[in-house]
Amino acid sequence: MSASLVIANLDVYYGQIHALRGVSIEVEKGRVTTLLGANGAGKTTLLRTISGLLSPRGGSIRLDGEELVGREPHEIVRRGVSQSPEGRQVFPGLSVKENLDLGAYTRSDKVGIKADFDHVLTLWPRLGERLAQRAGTLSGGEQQMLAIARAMMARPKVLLLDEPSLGLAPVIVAGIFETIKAINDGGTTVLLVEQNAHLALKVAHMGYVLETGAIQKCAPAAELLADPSIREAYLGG
Amino acid sequence: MTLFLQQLINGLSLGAIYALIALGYTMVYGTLQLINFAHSEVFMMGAFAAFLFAGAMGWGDGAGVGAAAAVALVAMGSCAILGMTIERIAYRPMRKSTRLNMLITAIGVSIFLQNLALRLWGTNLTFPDLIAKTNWEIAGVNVASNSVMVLGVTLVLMIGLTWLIEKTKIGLAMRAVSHSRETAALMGIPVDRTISFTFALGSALAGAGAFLFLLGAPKVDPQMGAMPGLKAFVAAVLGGIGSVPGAVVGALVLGLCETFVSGYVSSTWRDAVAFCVLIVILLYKPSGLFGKHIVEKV
Repeated sequence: MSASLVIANLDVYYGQIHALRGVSIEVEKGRVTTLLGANGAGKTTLLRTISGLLSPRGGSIRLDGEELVGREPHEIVRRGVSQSPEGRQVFPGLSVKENLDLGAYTRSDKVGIKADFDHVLTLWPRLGERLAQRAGTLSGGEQQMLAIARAMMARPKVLLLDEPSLGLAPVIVAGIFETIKAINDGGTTVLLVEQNAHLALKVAHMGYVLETGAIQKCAPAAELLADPSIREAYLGG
Repeated sequence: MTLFLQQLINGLSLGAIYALIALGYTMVYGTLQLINFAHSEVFMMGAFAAFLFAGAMGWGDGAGVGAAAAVALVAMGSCAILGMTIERIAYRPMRKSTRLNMLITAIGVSIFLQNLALRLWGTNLTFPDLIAKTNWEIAGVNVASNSVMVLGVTLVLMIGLTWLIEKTKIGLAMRAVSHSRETAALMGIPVDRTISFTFALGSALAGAGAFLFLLGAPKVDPQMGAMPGLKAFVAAVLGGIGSVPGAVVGALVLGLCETFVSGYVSSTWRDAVAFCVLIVILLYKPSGLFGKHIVEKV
């Protein structure tokens, strides 16, 4: 399996705080890679750095061999990495349709955009019923669907998902993880950041464990699921 | 009744000019949460651009509608370039610093531009009547061709602006950036370019406002932006700063307040009224008539 996104020796600081310490991750093409870790471990920091919102002090992030470090966030989206950010961050005052249009902002292939628009609406028919509605009026689960659908509208090579289960009811979370699987089955590479380790490891192929800014473990997801120390720390014993 | 209609027309055309300026305040506030106090100087520079261009072309009284249109476009274009330049040089380096620092920067730019104009061009210049003035008497109400032109041009610009914001890709990008710069960047929107465009657009509208202002009050002066700028700022706050329709409604309400007070009470009170409106709105409804109130779902 070839790696799509290769992160090597990434160092990120917030002022004096060393938030990521020499983090190296390989996101394999066509697979779901998950990054587990407690609150404050640096998971969101990593995704923000990949998207260009934070500048690392050292290390590299390569997409199919091309360096992303130093590029503007919009250039990174254009190159094929889009993100559904933590807390969903839909545009509350804009309609569902406009949110989806914004997801495709970097594209100009009308036919392809229309095809992807139809595709995300088959994945989430609920959004189709609410196209004209303001995104701020959607329920939390619907907003999460919209945030992922919006990121999919960029037709990314690599989709970054930051805590899609955050604050949602278990039944809704289950639905969201099914769609993540469907998205991956459709050929999109996924890097999934989660606190819900159990669900994440079930959809993922590879798992990384991040603790206080450093990678502690890296193994196939099935192995991590069976690992007693992981069970204790992240799976509730 | 005649007085009422007369003041209504006067008030609307005054309000229209305020609206053109207020839009610049509100759009910039919407994207950067910055009160761009240099905006009144962009307006003033628009007037100078109009004056200098008309002079360079040798256009004087009665030069005609074509000449007037060209002068208006030059004023708008110059303001757009000036607005983008101010953003690039003065505000962009400050973007990560506190809002107070940005506000002080804006005041600094304002003082700089006033003094630059004073140094370069002097004070109290007379702008030519490019279009011969006509007055129509309709049912006892005196309708000046100036007022008609002000209202007509403003209406066209408002329709254009609404179309741009609601229907175009750059308009959607502007709305996204005003919600959240960071999330907009994650959509692949070039945020800096979008902010730059917002400044260009708001400044061009101020340029149009300056040209229309000169039709009624043909004096070009480095200080001329202060009062209309301040009134337009009040209008933007009245409408709910950050809201585009709010700025227009606020400006029309303010224009009408002013002319009705001068018509029925005394013209010495007109400026006082504008600032009383500001005080009242800040006391009782600080978010303004169309102020945003966003509830975040968790």
